[in-house]
Amino acid sequence: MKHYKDSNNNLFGFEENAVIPSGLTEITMDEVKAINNVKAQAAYEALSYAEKRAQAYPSIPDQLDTIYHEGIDAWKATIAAVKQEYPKP
Amino acid sequence: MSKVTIQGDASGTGIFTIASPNSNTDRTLVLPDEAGTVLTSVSSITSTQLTGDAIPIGVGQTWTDVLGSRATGTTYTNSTGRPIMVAVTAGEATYSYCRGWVDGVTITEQQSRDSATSTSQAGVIFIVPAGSTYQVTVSVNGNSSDFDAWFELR
Repeated sequence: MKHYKDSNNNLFGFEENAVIPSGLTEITMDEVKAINNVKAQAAYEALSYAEKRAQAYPSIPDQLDTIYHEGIDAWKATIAAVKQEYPKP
Repeated sequence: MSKVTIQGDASGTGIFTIASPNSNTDRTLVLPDEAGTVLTSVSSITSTQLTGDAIPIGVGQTWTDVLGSRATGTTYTNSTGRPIMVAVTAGEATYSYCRGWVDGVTITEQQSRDSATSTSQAGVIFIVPAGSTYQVTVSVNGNSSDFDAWFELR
């Protein structure tokens, strides 16, 4: 399998014996990963504060575990830390 | 000139009839140049006897680990000439997301929220028709694109 990119950094993979469309440049797997990481980071930055918070909050089982073992105040502190990291604009 | 023989069984008593449909058009049935028996609607056919497009997915194919030669967000083409099945598992994380595309259309997607004590991961599995393009998008903790497994039945 060989990997290629076009002028917009769209990525393609073709078998060794495939006919490669014009306009594509062959790249290494490391370059593919680097492009994907840049895209992933850009996609993450484009998320709203609420979406970032939703991903950052501990899971419900973990939150319940915190409440059971450490109490409501500890749970509030956990949630507040996420809200502070991704403030409402 | 070769010859055609219709031969009855010496012991049987049943009458076998070759019948024509109600038609005014002349037709010729050409016999195959090989020995064999006639296939009917109740004949048994094994998967290994099928050829070409009639071969079902999975016959003669094996699950192949292609983790090292695949990348997320990359368009691949199924050039095997047969349908393949793709199974991808996103990296283990607090939040992981996986989406499978065929010919530019989202076929399946899954997101997973891990707790500190569980190991659930997002993953997708789908069939890619022969000649179609396919892609898997993976997001781990929102800012990475790692995946743990990529197998193809091909």
